[in-house]
Amino acid sequence: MSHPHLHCHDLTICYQQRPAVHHVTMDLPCGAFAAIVGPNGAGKSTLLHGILGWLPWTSGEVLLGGEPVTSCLKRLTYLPQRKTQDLDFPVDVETVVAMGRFQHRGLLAGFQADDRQAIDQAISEMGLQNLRKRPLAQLSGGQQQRAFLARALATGADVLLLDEPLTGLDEPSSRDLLARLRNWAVKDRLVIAVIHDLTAVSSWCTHALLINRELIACGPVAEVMTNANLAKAYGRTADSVRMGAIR
Amino acid sequence: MSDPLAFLTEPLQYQFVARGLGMALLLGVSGGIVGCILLLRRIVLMADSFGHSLLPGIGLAYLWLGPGIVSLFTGAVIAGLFTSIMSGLVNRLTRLKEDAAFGSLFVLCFALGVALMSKIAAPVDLLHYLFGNILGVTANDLYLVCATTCITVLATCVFYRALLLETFDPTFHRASGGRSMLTHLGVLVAVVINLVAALQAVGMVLALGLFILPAVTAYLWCERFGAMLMFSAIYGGVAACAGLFVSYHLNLPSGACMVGCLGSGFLVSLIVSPQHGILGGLLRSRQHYAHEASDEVCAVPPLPPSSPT
Repeated sequence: MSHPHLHCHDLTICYQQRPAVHHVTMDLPCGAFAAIVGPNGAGKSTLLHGILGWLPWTSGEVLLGGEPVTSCLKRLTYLPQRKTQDLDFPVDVETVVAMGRFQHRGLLAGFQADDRQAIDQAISEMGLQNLRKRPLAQLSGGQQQRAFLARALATGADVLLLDEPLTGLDEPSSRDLLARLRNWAVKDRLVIAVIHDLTAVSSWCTHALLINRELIACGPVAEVMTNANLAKAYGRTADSVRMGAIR
Repeated sequence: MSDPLAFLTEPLQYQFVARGLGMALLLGVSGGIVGCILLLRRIVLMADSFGHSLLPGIGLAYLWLGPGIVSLFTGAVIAGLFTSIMSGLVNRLTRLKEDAAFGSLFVLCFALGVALMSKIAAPVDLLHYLFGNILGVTANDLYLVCATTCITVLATCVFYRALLLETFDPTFHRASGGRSMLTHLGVLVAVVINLVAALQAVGMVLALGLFILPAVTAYLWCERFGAMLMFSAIYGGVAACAGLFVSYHLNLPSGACMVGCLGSGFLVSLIVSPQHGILGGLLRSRQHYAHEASDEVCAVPPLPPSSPT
């Protein structure tokens, strides 16, 4: 399997028959922890859904390790916004993580040794050993997010797409999650996350994509998160953007 | 009734009661399973709308195909699926949300059904569909409910993983290559066939009780999806049968007694369930305040560094 190097060329994605993000050309190397940054309505989630093939492209292509992404969707996994999940659902941490293996075993086949190993490894990588039998509803927001991340790890995918993973988390939990994502990306994987906290992006991410319905900048974080680029994306001064994002 | 054994055995000497008990057991089991999925997918009231929208289908089937159980079943299933597809279309093509579309369509369907039934059947038949009569079911009705329960249980076992994933996190299910639309359609079909099966027993007004009451009771006790399904199915079957015994001995309407028994367990659970009941909650609040008063300090685990660099 080739390294997860993501390349988008001239990508235009439609949402409700209108182009929501257009003419995006970008390169994200293997090992990158990339943040998608932009104002509300900029098309950040749309871009993730477009990469996953859920929204139609009117132009362009997306390649993963040189292959069309649509032919290797199993290499991608997605962590939706927390509001899409029922956090009161009667399920324990181990079952949540095991859901990551369902796609490998179909409807009826029992778990094999490699499934159990993947589940155990994901649980231990996310530091959830002591919580594996705990109902999800009894966990804190940060622990729940770690459980979902463990599920994503258990899928065996090497590209992780996350939609606003820090929403609703306090600062220590956010920091913990960012540290784990960065460590995960370093191991020949690729992490792409929609993040609103610009300080967190500058501190923890290796790459950034700044968009406002079109690509403003993409590359190493220091080159992208400049005052000029932020002002261009948000339409106001960079300082007010940073203050607003932090709040 | 002083002898508890006679309480159980006496009604069984009558074939119609034995048949009704079989029906109650089967309906309780499959209603309990379907109810859990409705509850966790938050579409309980949609199922209620479904129940009412079946009436014109039954009326038209009665008119065109005669009073046979299979034709009435087919008519009801078609009416239920038609309402479901129509509300889906209204939701997609207009600004109305799915619940509003369902609410509007089911009232319309119900009115149409009442009008149709008044023209083609005696008033007593209409009441039969509204309130049911489990003691009046035939052997064919029982076979139909048996088939419905078998299909429901089997489909739940086979599609357990898809159901769990789709109910818990539909977005991740889709990202894992799951077919959300197909799973949703399967759930709707299960709801319709179970509602139709329950019509004969408890009628469309009380049918929802067979679904929702075992499910909410199980939800108050269980922390795992599989355990909740099992609990709900077993409780549904047992409580529905208990209701029928009560109905026999107290000479009360069977549907109301079945739903009443299911509801009694729910009310007790609401109070005594240790994790999610009212008493448990009050106890935990008291312990929490006592803990705060004793001013204990919790150990805070060390944080990762504030920045990787």
